[in-house]
Amino acid sequence: MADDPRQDLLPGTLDMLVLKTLSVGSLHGYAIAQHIERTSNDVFRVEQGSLYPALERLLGAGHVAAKWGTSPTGRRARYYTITASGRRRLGQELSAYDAMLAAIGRVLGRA
Amino acid sequence: MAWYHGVLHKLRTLARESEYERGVAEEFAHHGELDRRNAGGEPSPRRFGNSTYYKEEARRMTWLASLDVLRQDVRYAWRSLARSPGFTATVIVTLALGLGVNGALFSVLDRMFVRPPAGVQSPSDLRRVWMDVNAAWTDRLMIPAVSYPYYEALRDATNGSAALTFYLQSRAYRGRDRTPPGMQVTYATAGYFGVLGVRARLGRFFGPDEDVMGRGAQVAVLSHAYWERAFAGDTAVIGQTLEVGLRPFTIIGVAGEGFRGTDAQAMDVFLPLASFVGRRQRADREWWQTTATYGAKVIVRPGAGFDEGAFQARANTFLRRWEQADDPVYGDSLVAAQLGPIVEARGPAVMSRDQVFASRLGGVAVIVLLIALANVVNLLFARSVSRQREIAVRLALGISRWRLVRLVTTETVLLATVAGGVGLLVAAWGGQVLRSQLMPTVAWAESALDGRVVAFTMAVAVIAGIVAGAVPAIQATNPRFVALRDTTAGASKRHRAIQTTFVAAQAAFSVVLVVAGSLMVRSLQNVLAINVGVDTDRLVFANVSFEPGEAPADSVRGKVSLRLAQQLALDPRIEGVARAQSPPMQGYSYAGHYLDNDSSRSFGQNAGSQVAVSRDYFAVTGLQFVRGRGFSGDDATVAPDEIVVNTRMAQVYWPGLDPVGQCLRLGRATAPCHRVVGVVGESSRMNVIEEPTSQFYVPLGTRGNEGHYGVALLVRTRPGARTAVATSIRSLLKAEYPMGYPSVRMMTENLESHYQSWRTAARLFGAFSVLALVVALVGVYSAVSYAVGRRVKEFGVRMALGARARDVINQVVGEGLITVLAGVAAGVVAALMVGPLLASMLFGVAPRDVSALLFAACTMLLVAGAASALPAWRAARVDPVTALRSD
Repeated sequence: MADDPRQDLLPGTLDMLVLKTLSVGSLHGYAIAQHIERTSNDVFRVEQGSLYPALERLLGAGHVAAKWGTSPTGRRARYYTITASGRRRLGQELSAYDAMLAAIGRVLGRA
Repeated sequence: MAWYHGVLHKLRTLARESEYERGVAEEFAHHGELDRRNAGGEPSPRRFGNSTYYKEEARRMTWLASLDVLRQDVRYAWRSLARSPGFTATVIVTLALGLGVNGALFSVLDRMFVRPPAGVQSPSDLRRVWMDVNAAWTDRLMIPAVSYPYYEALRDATNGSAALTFYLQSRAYRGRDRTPPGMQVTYATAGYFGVLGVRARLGRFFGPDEDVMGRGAQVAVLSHAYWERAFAGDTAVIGQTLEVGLRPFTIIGVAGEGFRGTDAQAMDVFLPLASFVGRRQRADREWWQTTATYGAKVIVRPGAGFDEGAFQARANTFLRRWEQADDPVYGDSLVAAQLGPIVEARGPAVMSRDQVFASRLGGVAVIVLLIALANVVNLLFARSVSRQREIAVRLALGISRWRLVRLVTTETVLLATVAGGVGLLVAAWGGQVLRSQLMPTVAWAESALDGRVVAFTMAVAVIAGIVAGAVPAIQATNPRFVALRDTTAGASKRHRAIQTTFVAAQAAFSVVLVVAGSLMVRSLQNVLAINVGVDTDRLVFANVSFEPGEAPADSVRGKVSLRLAQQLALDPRIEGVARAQSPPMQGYSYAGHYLDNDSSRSFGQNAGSQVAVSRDYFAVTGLQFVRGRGFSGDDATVAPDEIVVNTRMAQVYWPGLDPVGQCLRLGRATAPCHRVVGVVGESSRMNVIEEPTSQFYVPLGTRGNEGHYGVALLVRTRPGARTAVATSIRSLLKAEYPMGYPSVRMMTENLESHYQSWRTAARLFGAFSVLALVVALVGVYSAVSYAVGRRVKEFGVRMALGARARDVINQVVGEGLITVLAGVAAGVVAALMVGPLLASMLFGVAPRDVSALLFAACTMLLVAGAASALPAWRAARVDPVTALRSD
C-alpha cells in the first residue's frame, strides 16, 4: 500500500470536510465522497464505512438534514443538506483547524 | 434548537427501524453502483469494501445500537428468569400486589384531589364558593353549599367582573319506575354551560328566558353519556319528551362528550334551576327565598379585572345586609364567602371522612409497596449471591461492571414490568372495590382503570424495578466481594447485614400497618358498642312517599295511619305498634318554645328538639322512663297538654329541680302550659356518634303542633317475624296508596348506614395489615432459609459434635427473632410518630394506644417465629456426614 499515493483522512477531519462540501448545496452520499476526492486531487479516499457513520452522526447532532429525492440518473437517493447549526459547527471546526495547523507549523519551524 | 432536530431524527430512526434499514441498503447499493460505473464497470472489491460491516458502523451512530443491546439483555434476562420459575412467580406476585394497591389508590386519589372535571374549559381558572358560617345556632362551619339568596348577593358583588352559576343536584326517576339507579339531575342557572365552557353536541342549552324563578321552562339537556346509554345516541332525540318523575320535559340539547358535571357524582340530565321544586322551609316563602341550601353550589368564572379580595369584601357586606333584612331580631349570623379551587377536596373546608380516609389509605398503599420492595430486594439478593460464581466468571472474562449491573437491573425491570401488568388487574379490581367502599352512593364518570392509572402504575413499576435491581446488582458485582472461589466466610457477613436490614425494614413497616389496622378495628368495636338509646332489635318502621302533587293531605294520611296501626296491633306476630312524626334517628323538628319568659333560643345548641309521637311510642321503641309516666288516654284520643322530656333536657332546663310537673309553652310565650309528665333516657337524635341532645316528645296532633299527624308507623315484631311483618306492612301500604312508594325498613338496617364507614375502615386497614404480615412472613422465611442453606456445614459440625436438634432449632429461631426485633422497635417508634394522622378516623381509642402497639409487636414476633420454624427444623435434620462432605 506504500506505493498508493492516496491517503486516509486525518482523524476527525471528515465531519469538517463533509460540512464544507454540503455548504455549497444538497448532495447525496456518493456525490459527497466524489467531491471530497476530486477537490483533494484524489489524495483523499472516502470509504462508505466512514462516510455513512459520519453522516448519521451529523444527522443525530442536527448539523445536517436528509431528504429522499431523485438523482439525475432517475434513481431514488438520499440528499443531505447543511443546517444552520451545521454552518456554525463548520465555522468552529475551521478555526480550530487553523489554530492547530499554525501550531504544528510553529513546532516544525515552518511558520 | 439543533439538538432538538437531531433527537427527532434519532427518535424517528428508533421508531421506524425497518424503514431505516431499507434506506441504508438502498443508499449503499446506489453508492456501489455509481462507484462501479465511474471505475469503468470493473468490480473493485477493495473500494467496494465490506458493506455489512459499514452498515454496522453507521448503525452504531443511531439509537438502534442501544436498542440492540437492550434486546440482548432482555433476551438474556428472560432466559435466566425462565430457569427459576418459583423465584420469578414469587417476585411478580409480591410486586404486583404492591403495585396494584398503589394503582387502585391512585385511581381514587387522582379523581378526588387532582383531576379537574372532564369536558370543562380551562378548569384551573374556575373558582368554587364556600360559605364560612359563624352563627349562634351551630358550630362554625365551612361548607361548599350556598343558598339562593346568598347566590344573588354574590352575583351582585361581582359588579359584572365575573360570571357565576348556581346549581343543585338530585336523583330522579323516569315516570313511576323507581328501579335504581334512576337519573342524576342537575338543576342549574342558564349561565351554567357558559361559565363552564361546555359546548352542545346537539341542539342548544337553555337560555335566561327559560330560567326565570317561579316560571321555569320544562326543558332538558342530556349528558353525552346518558344520551348514548338511554337513547342509543339517537340524533332525533331533540324535541322528544323526558319524564322527570311525572313532569314532562322537552329535550332541547345534548352536552359535549366527556362532560358529566363538576363533581364526583356523574350527571345525566341538566334542567333549568327555575324548574326545581324544593320543599318549602316557610309557608309564606318560595324555596329560593330562604337560606336553606338544598346542597346547591356556586362556581365562578373570573373575567378581566376580577379582584378576589375586593369581591369577597363586597360579598360579605351584601350577605350581612341580607341576613339582617331576613331576620331583624336574630340576624346574628356572620356568613362570609370564600373562594377555592374547582376540585372540591382541595378547598378550604375540613376534609370529609372519606377524603381523610382515602388519603391515609394512600400512605398505607405506599407502605405496602415498600414492604413488597424490601422483600423483593431480599430475594434478589439471595439470588445474586447464589450466582456469584457466574458473575465472577463474567467479570474475569472482561465484561464491564456497568454492563453487568445493567444486565441484572434489566432482569428486575423486566420482572417489575410484568408485575406492573398483573398489578393493573389488581388495580382495576381494587379501584372498583375502593370506590364502592369509600363512596357507595357516587356513580363515577370514569372507569377505575384509565390511561393515567396505567401510566402511573407502569412508571412506579419501572422505578421499583430499577431500585430493586440496582442495590443487589451493585453489591454483587463489587470486585471486593467477587471471587472465583466460593468464599462463604468473607462476603457473607456483609451480605447478611444487608439482608437483615431489609427484613427489619419489612418488620417495621408491618408493625405500623398492624397498629393502624388494630386501631381501626377497635374504633369499629367502640362504635358498635354505642347504645343509641332505642332497642333496635326487631324494630320496623314504615312510611310512604309520593310524587309531587299526589300526596293526600297530612290529616287524611294521619287517619289512615291510625287505622292501620289499630289493624296491625291485632296481628299476633306483632308485639306493639306506635305512630310518630318520624321514626328514631330519622328526623326531628325544631320549633321555638318558652320556659317562663326565656326563649328556647337562649339555650343555643342545647335547646330541645321535638318529635310528635303516639302514646305507645316509648313502649315500642324501648325508651325507659326514669321518672314519671307516659301520655294518658288511649292511642286515638290524645291528652293534649302533656309532654315527655329526656334526661338531658331535664338537666339543661330544670337543673336541680324535679322536672315532672314543669311547664313548657310551645310556639309563643303566652301559649298555654304543656306539663312534663315523664322523663325518659337519652337516645341518639340523628347519628350514632353525637353529643347528648335535649329532646322532648309531644302527643300527636296537639296544640301548637297541629301539623304532625304521625304518618310513620313503628312496629316491634315478635322474634323471627321481622321479614314477614315487613312484607305484610308493605302490601298494606301499597293497597292503601296505589300511587305511593312504600318504604319499610328495619331499624338495624338504618343503623348500618352509620356503621358503614367504620366497617370499611376496619376492613381495608385490617386487610392491608394482614397483607403486610403475609409478605413479611415470606420475607423472613426466605431470609432465614437462605441463611440456613449457607450454613449447612456449620450445622453439620455442631450436630457431629453432639448438639441436639432442639439446640439448633432454638438457635435458628432465635436468630430469626433477633433479626426482626430491631425492625419491630423501629416500627413501634414510627407508629408513635404517624399515629396522630389517623386521629380523626378513630373513636374511643387513642392514636398511640399502648395495647395496639403491644399487639402489633407481638404479632410481628409471632409471625417471625413461625417463619423461622420451618428452616430451623430443616437445619436440625442436617446429616453431619453429608454436610461435611459437601463442597
